[in-house]
Amino acid sequence: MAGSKFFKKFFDGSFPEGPIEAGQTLGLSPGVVVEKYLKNRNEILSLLRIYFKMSLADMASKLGISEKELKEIETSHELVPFQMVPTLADIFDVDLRLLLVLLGHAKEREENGLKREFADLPIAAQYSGPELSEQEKVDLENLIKMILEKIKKKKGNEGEMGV
Amino acid sequence: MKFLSYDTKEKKEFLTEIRATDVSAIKAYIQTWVPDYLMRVLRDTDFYYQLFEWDRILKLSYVVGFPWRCYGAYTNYRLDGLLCLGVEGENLKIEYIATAPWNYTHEDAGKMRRIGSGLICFTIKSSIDTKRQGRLLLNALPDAEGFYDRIGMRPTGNMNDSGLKEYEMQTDGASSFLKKFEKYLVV
Repeated sequence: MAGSKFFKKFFDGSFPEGPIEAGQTLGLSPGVVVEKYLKNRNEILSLLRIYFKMSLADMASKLGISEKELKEIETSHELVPFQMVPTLADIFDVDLRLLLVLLGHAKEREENGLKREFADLPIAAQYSGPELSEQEKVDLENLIKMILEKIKKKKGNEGEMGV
Repeated sequence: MKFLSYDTKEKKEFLTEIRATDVSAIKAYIQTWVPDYLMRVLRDTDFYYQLFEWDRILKLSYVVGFPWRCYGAYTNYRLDGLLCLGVEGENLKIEYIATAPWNYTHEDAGKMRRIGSGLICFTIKSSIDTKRQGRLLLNALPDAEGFYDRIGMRPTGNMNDSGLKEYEMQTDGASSFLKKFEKYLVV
């Protein structure tokens, strides 16, 4: 645990290090940060692409769409198709639940202390976008199954590693 | 104030300067801290860094002026830390303090070391310069309480409206901190 490392360092005689944040309030939640500072939520995609030094062509190819389509999605105010979100999470190896929140597909739960928590699945209960088509509802079911499988798999791996 | 910070990635020391911010700090915050925070928070579910609304805090300090003053820690033009000072009674009050998200010490992954300590040192010196003998107050975020304990600050028993514990630095704690940090100061 990080705290014990700092404790050890202090008594090793080196200068104390650690989180230093102090203020009148807690910080902003990730969802609020996106709403407040990004022109549109989909700008997250451009940020991810730039951060991971990926070209528009590379990312479009991984998503199975054209560069033009990707550019349109990145600059659009429409929600990123939710079927695309798990693929994005896989490509960039980022937290799927938070990505769903930041892209507007799920709602963030109220901050509970410092711990980030998200609304419980199923996501459909939290979905606030336009009415879904029958095909999209089926996709949503698949998406939930995928998320649950991923979480289960991750927990399994952590268990094997003795975490 | 200038001091030697330490880059854990490049494994060498750099000169960091703490100076009053101007409006360019707002742009630097939005263009560097915000995207970096979002990327880190997406990549690591255990990244509990709290991003303050620094654009608002900085704007307020320019509009309200004294006693609110904001300072930035700059390493080669990069904004590595931010500090907002005010006054509460006889004490200097740290209204807000934060290191940049890329410096946040999380599983020892922070890039620059000593940025936070440099900002604390600057505050203690400001407290002494304004005849407050190094005394200062702040409300620590839960994750940061350990740091303030370790540098000799003590909880006053008070809590603010957000439930953040108030910590105080007394004159002796301030002297001890300065003594430890002085080896990094550049005259």
